[in-house]
Amino acid sequence: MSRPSDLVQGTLDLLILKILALEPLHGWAVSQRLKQVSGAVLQVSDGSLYPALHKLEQQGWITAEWKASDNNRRAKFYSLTRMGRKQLTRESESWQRLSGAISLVVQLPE
Amino acid sequence: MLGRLPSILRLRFRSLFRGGQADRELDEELRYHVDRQIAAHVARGMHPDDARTAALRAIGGVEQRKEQMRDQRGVNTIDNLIRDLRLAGRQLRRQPGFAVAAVLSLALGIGANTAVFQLLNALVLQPLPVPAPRELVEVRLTGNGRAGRHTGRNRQMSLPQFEELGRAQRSFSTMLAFGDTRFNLSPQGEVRYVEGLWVSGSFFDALGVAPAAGRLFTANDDRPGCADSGAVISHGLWQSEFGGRTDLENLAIPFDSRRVRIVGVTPPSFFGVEVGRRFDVAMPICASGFNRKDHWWLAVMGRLAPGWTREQAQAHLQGLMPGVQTRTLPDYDAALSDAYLAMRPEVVDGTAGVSPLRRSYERPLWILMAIAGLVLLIASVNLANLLLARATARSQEFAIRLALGGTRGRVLQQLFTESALLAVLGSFAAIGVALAASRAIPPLMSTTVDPIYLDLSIDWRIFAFTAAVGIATALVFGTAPALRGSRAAAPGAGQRGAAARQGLRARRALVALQIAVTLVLLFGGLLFLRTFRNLAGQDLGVRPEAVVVANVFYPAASFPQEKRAVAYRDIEATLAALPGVTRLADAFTTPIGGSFSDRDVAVDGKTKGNSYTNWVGAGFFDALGTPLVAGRDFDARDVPGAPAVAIVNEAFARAFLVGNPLGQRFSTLSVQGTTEAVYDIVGVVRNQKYQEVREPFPPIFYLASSQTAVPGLTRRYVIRTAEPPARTLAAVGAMLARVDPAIAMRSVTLERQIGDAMLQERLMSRLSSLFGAMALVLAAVGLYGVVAYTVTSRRGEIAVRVALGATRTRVLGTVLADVGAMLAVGIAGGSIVALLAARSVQSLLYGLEADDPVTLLTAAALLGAAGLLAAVGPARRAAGVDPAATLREA
Repeated sequence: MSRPSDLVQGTLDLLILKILALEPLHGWAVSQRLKQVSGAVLQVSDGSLYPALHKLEQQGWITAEWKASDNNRRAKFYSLTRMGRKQLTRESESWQRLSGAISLVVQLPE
Repeated sequence: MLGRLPSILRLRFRSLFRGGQADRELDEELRYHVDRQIAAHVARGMHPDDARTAALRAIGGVEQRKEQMRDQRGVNTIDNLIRDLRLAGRQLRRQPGFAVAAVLSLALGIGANTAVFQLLNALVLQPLPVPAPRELVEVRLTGNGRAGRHTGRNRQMSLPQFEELGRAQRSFSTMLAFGDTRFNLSPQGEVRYVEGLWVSGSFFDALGVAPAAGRLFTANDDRPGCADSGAVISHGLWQSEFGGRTDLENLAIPFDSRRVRIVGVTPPSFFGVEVGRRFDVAMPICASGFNRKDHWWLAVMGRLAPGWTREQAQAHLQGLMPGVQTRTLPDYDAALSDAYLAMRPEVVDGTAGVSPLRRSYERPLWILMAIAGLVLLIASVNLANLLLARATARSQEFAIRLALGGTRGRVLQQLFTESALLAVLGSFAAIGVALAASRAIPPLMSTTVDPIYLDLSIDWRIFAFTAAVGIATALVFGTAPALRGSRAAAPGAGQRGAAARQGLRARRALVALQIAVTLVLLFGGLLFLRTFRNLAGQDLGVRPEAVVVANVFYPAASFPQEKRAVAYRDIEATLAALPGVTRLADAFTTPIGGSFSDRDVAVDGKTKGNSYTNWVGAGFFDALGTPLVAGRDFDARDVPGAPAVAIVNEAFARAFLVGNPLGQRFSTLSVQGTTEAVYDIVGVVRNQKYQEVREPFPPIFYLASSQTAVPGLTRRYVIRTAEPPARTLAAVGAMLARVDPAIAMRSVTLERQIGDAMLQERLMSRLSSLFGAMALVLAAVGLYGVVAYTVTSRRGEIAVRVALGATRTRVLGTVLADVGAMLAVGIAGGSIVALLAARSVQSLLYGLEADDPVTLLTAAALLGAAGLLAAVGPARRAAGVDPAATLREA
């Protein structure tokens, strides 16, 4: 299962970008943060996290750097690039539009 | 996207070339994650073993994850390609015989195509190496109002016409004119001609050529009566003649018994505007002294003014033409004047310059291009057949790969990689083949006096063409084997047999196709071969073997009129005394000699028609081996002042005279229609050809050169010799230099001179038969391969038949019948295509029709014989099958 079926396609990217926009993190920290912020609602398997990170890196939206982590081991820290920041703005806007439209539809009186 | 490009490229490169490091980092990253996750689980009280299992399960199989991420990096496509290339290289190395044969046949096939394309490119496609060549147009005149003097290869206009047109027109920003000529750089001894141009003052400016040294002509250099405007020379001549010396003011070339100073040098890439020629020396038109209204010698070009199209320019010139023609009308009779006034301008594309050579060779070259393409098709089909056999043999390998989870796409990709590798290797070798071949061809188009020059440098068009042909070839020979291989099913005895049979059917169809194409090529080759044979075997009315033609030229200054008769008598005496010389005579021209003169003739005051004319000395007919059929040859009686006499040929007598020609008289007419002279016919000779090998025998009248009051500056001798002509040729050269060092001379054997007139046909026949032979060999090899393969794969079946009582003859018959069927289908299909295709070459043939049945039968017989011959070996092997041994094997 490389892609969680309960996650709207593309939203994982948005979530990662948003998390990395706050501060540079390594992969495990990203996974922890994901679990924290979304609680049990969004099930993101660790298996799909790393391919997503690498895809974002290949696309140039995030960049990686090896640094010492909090437990003094070398870890790969990801941070947002300038292009990534723009991409985040774009994706957030389109997400707002989409979710706004969907809630309007859902709230229609029956 | 553009902003991200550098970092993306960096990452992709890292993945590709430092894949090891990328993989290690990936490992470390995932390990870090798993370790942290375990620690987190343990902290929450989980048993360490369970924690590890949970962490690994959550991430879902580290190895699969890594593979997935490698795909994400886009590395696998390229990685796979490299792996496929390595595998393909190993496959080829394992069968070096196959590899060499495949690459060699591709190199020859693609090389032949590239070579022909190189010629086409140089002659037809390449624009002139000048700025904005697409603005250039050529102005030609249609109609047959040109009578009078003709010189050069591009005789479109007279000088007055060019000047009038230039004054009146507005459609071109500039116009230029040039006439081609030859300059003799060696005024004494053996003539050394270089290619010359008479150019209008606007010539270099209009083309946009900048000097490599000195200056080029301007309008100021080309004024009536210019005595010493100097000469512009090519970069090549500058290097070869003057070693590139920069003190131009001290350099000069001989011209017409004076020396002309050199004012400038053109850049190395500039060869003139006539494709197929390279100019060496250019002088302004005014220095030629030519300005007659009835002298046809100029090619005219223009640069379209901004906003004008060719069509508009043509319409514009059409409107001007009547005025131009009226103002430049030569002194013609009524009929000629009408024709002259009716001449119309035509504005044609001049991007690639002007080229009479292109007009005669463009069509043959396109045909050769098609032929070379078909040869390559046959070679590719052979390869397809070989690869099909290999694919069938490897079907088990592919089946295993598919069973192990390889996708069809991957197998397909790998098979195509093998074909592409072959094609790439073949294409590289092909460029070498093409370089050698295309350089060998221009000399075949050149004659001693007309050297052909083509710019055969390799440009992007050549590379693009070779690459395109290589790719197309790989697709042709790679598709069938790749599809076959990728369709391989899981191995099972019955299915394998079916696959083999199916492969065989495809291969038999390919062989039939090959045979069909080969028949087309053989037929074409034979047509051109027979055309050349017909031409070469033409009766020219002379026996050219053992005849030498020597031309002598005196410089005007050193050769006063009163000395000429004596000087020529001396030369004749010395030539006649050379060893082996049996007969000697002077002549204005020899058959197919290039020069010509003609007159309208009248008998009894009635104009009869046009006849060629030639001025010859006593013994001319004897020397050439043309029999006198009635009357007498010229002799000592025919001197200036004696009654003017003529000898006519049989065609003249048949066309213009009634009854016995001897004793009849005819008169010659000037272009104004007045009587020039009257001649008594004293002899009749067998027909000779005059200018063209292809024309029927034309009417010719011969006049006695001994009756010309003042001999000219040049004289041509025909010499029949009993010695080998080459030895006489050398002796003549050495002797003339001894007689008078001031003479310039040039001699050639008559056979060579006649052969030079059939260059295009000779080239076509040689190349098309060469290609035909290549096709025949390739098709025979292809047929052999398939029959041999069939016999091998049917051994079991044949053994059963023999065991059940089939005789050897019967087995032999079965195999040969099979081959016969393939041949029959191929030949029948090929014949239809050949007959249809041949229509397009009719205009290039001579002495036979394009649907000549004998030629078609010959081609079919040749192909049938070669096919059966190729099949005999395998067929005999089939007949020799030992049933007991074979069946035990099985």
